[in-house]
Amino acid sequence: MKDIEKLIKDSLENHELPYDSSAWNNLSSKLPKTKVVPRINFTKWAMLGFGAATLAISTFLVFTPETNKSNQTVKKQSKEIEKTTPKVENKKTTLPEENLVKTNPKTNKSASNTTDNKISLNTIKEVNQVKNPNENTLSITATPQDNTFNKLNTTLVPLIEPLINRIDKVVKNELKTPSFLTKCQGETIEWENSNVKTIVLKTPSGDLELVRSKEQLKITLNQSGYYSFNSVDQNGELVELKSFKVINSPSISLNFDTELTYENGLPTLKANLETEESKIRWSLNNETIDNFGKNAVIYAFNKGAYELTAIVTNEVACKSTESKTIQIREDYNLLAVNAFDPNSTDNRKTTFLPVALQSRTSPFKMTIFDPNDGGVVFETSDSYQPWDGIDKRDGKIVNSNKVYIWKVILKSPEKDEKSEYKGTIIRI
Amino acid sequence: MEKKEILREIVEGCLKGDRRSQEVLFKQFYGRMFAVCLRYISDRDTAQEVLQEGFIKVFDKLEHFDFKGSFDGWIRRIIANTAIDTIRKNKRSPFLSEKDTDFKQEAVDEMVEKETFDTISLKAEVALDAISKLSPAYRTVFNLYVMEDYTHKEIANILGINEGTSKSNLAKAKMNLQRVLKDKYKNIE
Repeated sequence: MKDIEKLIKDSLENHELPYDSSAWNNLSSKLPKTKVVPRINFTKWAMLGFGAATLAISTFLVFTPETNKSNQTVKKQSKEIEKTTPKVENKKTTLPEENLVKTNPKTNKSASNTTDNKISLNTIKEVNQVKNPNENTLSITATPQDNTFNKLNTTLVPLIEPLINRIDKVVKNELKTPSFLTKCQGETIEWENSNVKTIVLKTPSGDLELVRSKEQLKITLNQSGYYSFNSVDQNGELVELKSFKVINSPSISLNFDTELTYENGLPTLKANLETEESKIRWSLNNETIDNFGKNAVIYAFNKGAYELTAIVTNEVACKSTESKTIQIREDYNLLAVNAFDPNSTDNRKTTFLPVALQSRTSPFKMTIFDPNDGGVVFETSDSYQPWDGIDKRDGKIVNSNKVYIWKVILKSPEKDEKSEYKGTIIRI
Repeated sequence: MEKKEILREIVEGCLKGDRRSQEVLFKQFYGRMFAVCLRYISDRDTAQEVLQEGFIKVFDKLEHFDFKGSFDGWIRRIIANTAIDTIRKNKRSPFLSEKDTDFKQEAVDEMVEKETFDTISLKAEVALDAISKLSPAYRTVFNLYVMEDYTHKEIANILGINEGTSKSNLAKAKMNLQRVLKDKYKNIE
């Protein structure tokens, strides 16, 4: 029976989450810009430490003959140095990225700058000569970089090694998992488990998906939140290897008017999109149309299906799409009526001009033809001068119940609009 | 002593602005510090942001580290303080006592339910999950008192509340934690 404080403290005290290299990439971009000093990485530091250990011995040896100026002692201890040196090289073969040669000029350089170490430097030369004048290995290892090295000794090595191992564990012993860090809701992922071990995918709601070795995982990411790839340890517990986030796709709701309206005489369909996001793309019948923001205005000049699609992208590039289709049953024909009555008491019916022309901005020319002889009965370019039923050739009102043809040419039709409209008109 | 020397090397590299030294330091402490963040802030994205912000502060303040105390503890306090600042920013008076209804008594992760805990050792994820269900006021006091070993007086000072509130929030936090965990593991007292 444990106290709750202790219970939780015990469980969380050393809690550690798996390393995520993208986190460093994120952070390093935020840190003040500095040049990357072309120097040893941590393993090399460890190496340096190792070198330092050897160095410490050398220094120790170097100083010893100072007090005991016996040539014999120097020789004897040089042998010990020789013993130590191969150890360094041995290490070199196990850690290929270490580069002694690279490290050496640096240490040499700093040593040559050190003025207060003259004695030891001289002694090094001395020792070198005693040992082997042609070999310079000793000068490499025995060059003190700074005084702290004097304090280091061979016990350093076992202390560093667990550190290296630990880093290696993090870096190298990771089981393979997919490299992505985020996905959008609704996406499907495919991944083959190339590991020997079974990998378990855990969904945000806690469902588990086993992916055995060499098996293929194919899953649609329906839930938003964190999915994780886990391995199973000896106790059958999941150990998280890597997690990735499934991001909510932007929420959208498309309202598409089902009825045409005739603003400015144009056959208008209006759509409105409800969404938090601002990156909106529209397409009509699979063709991208100009950006309208959250509101789209479409002109439906022809009958047929109008499929409007809104594609919304959020800041992490997750998309949501919604489409709506509206059927338009009739071609647009400038809202022209097919009959008029000059004797009507209703002023609106006494003359003829396609209704749309009264409010459209485009200049136009309307011509009325006599279908019998093709003669021009009437012409106008002014929406305030509709056809009053007079045949301009004889100045008389045309016969009733006779079909005439009207033709309108628009000087500046809308985009995708034809410039010529035709129809028939009967005088009642 | 020797370990300190290595640390000193890394720290000196960081102070020179050496990216690789910074990366080594970050790598070394990432896992533990992210866990610390998650104790305060359950949303992983926000926790990740706090971690980043915290590390920027760590690199910034690194020259003040005197190598006398534990480096781990030094970093952890910076990270914890960053987390507290974030909670503070997001809500007015977040550390005052709250209604008990603030505690969401949802079931602990289903997967965990299946496990037996005869020996009473709590999986970190379960503990974290239980803590994440506490309100910020309870959670922060619990973390500072239990995990970071601050006294109620210090907590009161950090959070700008009085000692009494700190004590009562801790008690309520423990009560709530017990309630959630007790259902699962009958032998916790």
